[in-house]
Amino acid sequence: MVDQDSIVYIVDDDAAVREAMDSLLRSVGLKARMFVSADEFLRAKLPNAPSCLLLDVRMPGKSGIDLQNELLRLENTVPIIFMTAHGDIPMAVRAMKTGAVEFLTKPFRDQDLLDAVQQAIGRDRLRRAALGEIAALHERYELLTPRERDVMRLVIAGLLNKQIAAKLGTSETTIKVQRGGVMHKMKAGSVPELVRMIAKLNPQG
Amino acid sequence: MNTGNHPADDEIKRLNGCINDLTRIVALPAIWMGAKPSEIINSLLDSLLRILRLEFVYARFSRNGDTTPSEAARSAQRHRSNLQARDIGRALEPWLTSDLPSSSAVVPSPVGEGTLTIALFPLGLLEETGILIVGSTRPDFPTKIEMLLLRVAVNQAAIGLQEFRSLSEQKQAAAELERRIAKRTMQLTAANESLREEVIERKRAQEQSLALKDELAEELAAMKRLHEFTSRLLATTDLRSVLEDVLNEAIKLQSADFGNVQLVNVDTGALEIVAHRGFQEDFLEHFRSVRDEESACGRALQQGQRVIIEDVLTDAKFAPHRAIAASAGFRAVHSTPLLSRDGEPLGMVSTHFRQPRRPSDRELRFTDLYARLAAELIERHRAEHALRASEERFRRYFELGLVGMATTSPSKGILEVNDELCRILGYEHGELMQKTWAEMTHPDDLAADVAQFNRVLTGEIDGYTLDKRWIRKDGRTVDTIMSARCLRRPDGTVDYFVGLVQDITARKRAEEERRKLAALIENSPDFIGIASLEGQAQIVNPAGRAMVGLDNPTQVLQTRILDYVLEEDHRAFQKHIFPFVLREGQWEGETRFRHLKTHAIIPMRQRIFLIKEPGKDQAVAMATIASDISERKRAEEALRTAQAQLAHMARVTTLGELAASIAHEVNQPLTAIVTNGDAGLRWISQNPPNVEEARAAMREMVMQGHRASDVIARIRALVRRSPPQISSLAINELIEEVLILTRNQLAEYGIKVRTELETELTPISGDPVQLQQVLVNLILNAVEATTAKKEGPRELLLTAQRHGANEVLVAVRDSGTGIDPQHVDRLFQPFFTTKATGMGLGLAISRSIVESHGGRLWATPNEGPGATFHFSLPVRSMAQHG
Repeated sequence: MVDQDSIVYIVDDDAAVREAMDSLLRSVGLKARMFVSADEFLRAKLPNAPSCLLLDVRMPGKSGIDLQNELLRLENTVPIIFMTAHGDIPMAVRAMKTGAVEFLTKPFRDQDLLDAVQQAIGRDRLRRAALGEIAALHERYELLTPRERDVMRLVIAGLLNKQIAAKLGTSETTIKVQRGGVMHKMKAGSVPELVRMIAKLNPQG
Repeated sequence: MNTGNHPADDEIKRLNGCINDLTRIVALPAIWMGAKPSEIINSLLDSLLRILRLEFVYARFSRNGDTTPSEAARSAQRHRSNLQARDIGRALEPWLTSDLPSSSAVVPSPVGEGTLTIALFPLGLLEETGILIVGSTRPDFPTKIEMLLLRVAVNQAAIGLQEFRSLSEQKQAAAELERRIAKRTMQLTAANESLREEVIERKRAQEQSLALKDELAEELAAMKRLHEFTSRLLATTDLRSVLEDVLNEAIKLQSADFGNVQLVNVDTGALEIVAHRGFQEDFLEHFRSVRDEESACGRALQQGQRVIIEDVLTDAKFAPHRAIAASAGFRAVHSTPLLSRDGEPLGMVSTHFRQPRRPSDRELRFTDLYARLAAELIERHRAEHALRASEERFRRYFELGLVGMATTSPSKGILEVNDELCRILGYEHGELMQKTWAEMTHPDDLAADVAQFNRVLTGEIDGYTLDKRWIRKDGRTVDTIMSARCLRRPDGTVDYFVGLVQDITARKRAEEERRKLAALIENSPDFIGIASLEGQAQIVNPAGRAMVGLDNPTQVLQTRILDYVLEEDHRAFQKHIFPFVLREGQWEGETRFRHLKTHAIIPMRQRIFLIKEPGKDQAVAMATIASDISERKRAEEALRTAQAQLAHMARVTTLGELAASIAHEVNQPLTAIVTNGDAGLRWISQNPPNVEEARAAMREMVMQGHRASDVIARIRALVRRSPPQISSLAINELIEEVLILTRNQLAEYGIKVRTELETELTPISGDPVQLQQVLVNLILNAVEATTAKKEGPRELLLTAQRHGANEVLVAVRDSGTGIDPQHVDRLFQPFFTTKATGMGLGLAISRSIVESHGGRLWATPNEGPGATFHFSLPVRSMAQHG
């Protein structure tokens, strides 16, 4: 469902189209913000809320595709819904390949647009949550002492306490204590959960 | 008492005895005849002891002339025989030294125990001889008779001693006489001897003086010869004849049989024969070049001293040359070296003798004198030769002509001049000799030259160098650098000058050029800068400094290259541009500078290149010429806009693109209409319905509907073809314009365009806009075909040429995907397209335009990749079809 905090960004050089879309989105309770050009969008300070981008392909100056490339370069992963007054199949394929959520031709069916927006915002929300989660995990990780991290690495690798103690050159008791500290700080209920957490922190492994 | 003996018998016996004793004593001297004093004394003592039956007798006496008296003593047999005279003498000492008290005394016995009586008697006359002491133990000793006997004995002794003395004196005298005679005889003999010696001496002296006279005569003769030789020497300078002369003199002087003179070869250091007398070819050949140590001359050369070999057969070292000596016939050889003042060997004079021979001192002395004179002459000869050689060298330099040379007088006249200087000044040799250098000097340089010249004359300096110009014979000015130096006489005045003149016209010209180039750089409106290879700025010209806001050249030195470049572009410079320049030697492209004060961005067209050392591959600096292209950029921007418009126009006027335009232009308002409609429906469906929003949406819908119809109207107006504007066109210009317009697009796709446009094509008549549209269409098609191919060259070729008498043929050739043979017929049909987008109208319209100009448009596939589109246009004739 739609949340009050989400925003839809509209970038189209045609004022009538922009306004119409804004009206449509508001009519279903979505918040929208309009931009006349890709540059205006890039210059804007955007709030940290789940969002998506309704982007016209053909615009004077920077085209929609240009903006998409720019956002990729800036590592801005706001989900993009392309619109075009022309059906340009190669363009559409390219746009989808580079990660656009949807490619709509004007005039479009209102439901198509709203579904796409929903999907896009949902995606963005998940991403943020994931990011948030990762941020949280990171914070917890920061709390670990270097020794605790060493222990954690070996725990994840599947070594027994006895083995860890031997490897690090301390007693098994010490290891047990440190292990407890790791689980507590990381707020992990079990070793598999700990493994998943670390996997999220370290996607490359 | 003896009764038997009459006292008178005893007395007679006693008296007889006394007489006997006396006789004996008196007889003593006979024994003493010829005896020595000691013998006399001893005999006396013996006799007395016996005769008088004494205990001891002791005598002390002096022999002739003795200072120490001798002692003698005898004692009775029963006393110790080893009792010495001196012991007795010592014992009797007190009585000897004091005055004789009386003739007798009683003393302790010196020979035994007890006492005895001694009697003392002087020995000799006047006690000069000695003293006699006798001792006896008889109580009545000495009796008168005994005294008498003793006195007689003493007297006899005295007489004997005396006789002895006289005898000895006689003997002495005789001896003395003999001695004197002998001495005299010896003296006489000696005198005789010395006289004889003197006679011999005198004779020898006489002989010597005679010999000396001969010597002197010879000496004089030799001196005379030497003197004559010296005179001859003064008269001639011919070295060879002098050496011959020396040889002759040496041979004559030493009475030699043959001889030779050698000179040291300065190069090899060996002796070589230059004059000889009496030798055959074999000898001359054998000793052609001598450096050994066996021959006389070789040895003399080594040692630097005269060498005399008295006999070659006995001289061990000479052995190797004995054969040639035998062949030549000499047994002795004498070599005298000719030495320079420093002791350096210059040559050798050798004389040879048939017999073994040793030369005399005089010969040696005179030979040395000749040798000295010869050596001096050789030295002088060598010095002259060296001087001549050096003069020769100078002359060669003078004539060599590396630089202009002249000798001039203190009055500025020209004494000598070489060809090079004639060439520099453009005069003949003879002409220059008539002139002074001052009259040929450029008037502006004359004062400085003369000033320095005068300083030399006054002795302040010895020479000077300056740049000066001369006026040539032909009136031209020639730039030279001149050095002059004077040679002074012993009194310090200038004898003459030597001057070197070097033509530096070429150099001056080069400097002129350099100055001009420097001026170019100074005045160029472009940014010209030079920096080190490390990036340290060195020079920026005034225009450059003004462009970037530097006030003066010193500020430049504090900057680095990247200080001038926009920060964002630094990376490009460091990663790509500089490495490229260092590798390839130059780079050209567009860059962005930054004003150092205002920080404004200055777009530049920049060329960066390496400055290399002439002839080498080693770069020494980096340089750049950059021009401010802000204006150009602006113009380009305007052009791009115009191009875009044209392209847009071109696209729009071809129905393919038109359709896309229509779609776009119309879809926007349509989208607005539809979306507003959707929105309105939703607003109304809300609970409660949002009437305001719905109303707004509907109003929008109406407006957008109108807009859409406006769009269509505009498009229709655009599509309507205006009638062609016919004019006379040069097709090449048209093509060039179209290429300018499409340049950016071509560049964007990396497509290179070549043109082969025949020059001086006859103009055609037609509508420039329409024909340009055709070209744009063909070019854009070619671009699309080329870019559709992923690989292969991206080249377009545009050609224009005469075709027959009346037509011009233009062709656009690409290297793209080419024409599918299946479709070649249908290419120009309207609405035929192989492209995903596009309506297939471009070529149809193009053909229509060309045909309305009276030409034809067709396509052919290439032999290689791609296709060529050709169209022909009639020359200068009106379109036949409307």
